[in-house]
Amino acid sequence: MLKMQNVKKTYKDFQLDVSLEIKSGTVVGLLGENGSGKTTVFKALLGLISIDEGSIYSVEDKNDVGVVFSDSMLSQYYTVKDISTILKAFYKHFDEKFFLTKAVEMKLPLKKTIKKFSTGMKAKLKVLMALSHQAKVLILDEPTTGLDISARMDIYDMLRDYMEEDESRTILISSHITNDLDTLCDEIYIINDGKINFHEDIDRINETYGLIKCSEKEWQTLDKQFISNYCKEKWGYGAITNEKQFYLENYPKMIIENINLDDILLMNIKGERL
Amino acid sequence: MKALLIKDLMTMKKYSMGILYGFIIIVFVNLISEKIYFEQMVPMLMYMMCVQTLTTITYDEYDNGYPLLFTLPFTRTQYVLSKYVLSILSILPIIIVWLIYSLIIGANIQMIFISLLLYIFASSLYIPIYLYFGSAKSTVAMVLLSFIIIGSIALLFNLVGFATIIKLLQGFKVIMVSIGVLLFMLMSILISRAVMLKKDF
Repeated sequence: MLKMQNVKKTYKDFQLDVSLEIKSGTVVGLLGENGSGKTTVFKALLGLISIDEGSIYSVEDKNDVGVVFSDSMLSQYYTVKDISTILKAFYKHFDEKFFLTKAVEMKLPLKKTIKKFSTGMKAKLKVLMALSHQAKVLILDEPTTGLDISARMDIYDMLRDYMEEDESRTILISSHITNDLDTLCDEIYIINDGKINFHEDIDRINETYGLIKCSEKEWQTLDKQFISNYCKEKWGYGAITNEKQFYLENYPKMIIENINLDDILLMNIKGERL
Repeated sequence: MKALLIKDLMTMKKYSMGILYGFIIIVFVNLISEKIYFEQMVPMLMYMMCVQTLTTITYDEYDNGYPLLFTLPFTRTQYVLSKYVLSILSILPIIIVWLIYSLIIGANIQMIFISLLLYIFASSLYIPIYLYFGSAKSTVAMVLLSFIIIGSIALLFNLVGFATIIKLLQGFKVIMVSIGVLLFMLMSILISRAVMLKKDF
């Protein structure tokens, strides 16, 4: 289990203030716009930055953690073969055969320096590095940056295979591409301006959450007890509810749509909380 | 720490051609000269090896490499120690070759020992600077430090006199100097460790 309790970290123009819990055997998505604090959360969990307050319960043995950072990589003068040698020296359970076989499958040249790789090739290599040493926990900060839809699906398939091999494995993943996380994740956290302001199970989001669209007049008379966020639009009001069925039954003429993660993310960033 | 040394040796392999060129130049100059310049040029080679150790720090840090690197299974203390161990290991072949050469031609081996002490002193001075400032800013820091050291020595010579300094230095026993250099190295390791423990990546 990974846990952050009242963790605070202050920078000049930014303050992180989060609490979150990731249970073993789950895939948890962390969504947020650029600069919201996703990478700071990951770095705090991994002990790469100090924290000002709070407590963190993370994996003790680094052999059990696989990490991807979208903007960090080992020296780009290494080749895939060099990286295989290096990871074999570091990790107790590094599977060299799996690493090199998958690298060939992914069309990653074994003897070319990483400097000459495309963005997509580097992204694939980073994920492969994280998956090749039997890690119990994967912490993936925007692992699919720069990948096209086909390559992203390949990565997510690898992550699903990884989870299926051992039910106790855990993934914490961040991404801008919310629709990809819909089918991969069990839970979602949304972080905005350094604070977690949404947390929910994906199943619950799909079953009970809805997006209400109503006019100004309808908004005035709407029962708002199950509204979490709302946003004033040109045409009226948009709002998120976690009890879609209540509004379907009591306001049959109102537009109530199924919601997706993009809507939830946008509403948390641009909208107001009730 | 073994894994860290393997990583660094693989990094050094990437630019080993530069070191090889240095060897070739030394051999070539000695072959075409009437006088053998081996003892003069080997300390220069040792200085190059000190720079190679610092270059591994540059390669680790380059292009925001530190965040991913420090998620690998090693501690920050091990990382620091590996740089000092690497700096010693990297000049061992040179020391051994120089020792054999000196024994063959019957030369005084004290020069080897003094060069080794100077090398340890230089590595101990530069490694914490590189770790603290990072490779980009440490070049400026090292130039400034060099000016301060040279300026201080020049001032000392002006105040006290060159002959007095030499007489004073000759009074130091080799064992005392060796202990001093090793203590300096220990202090350097502790400073480097403190720097890395505090660093946010």
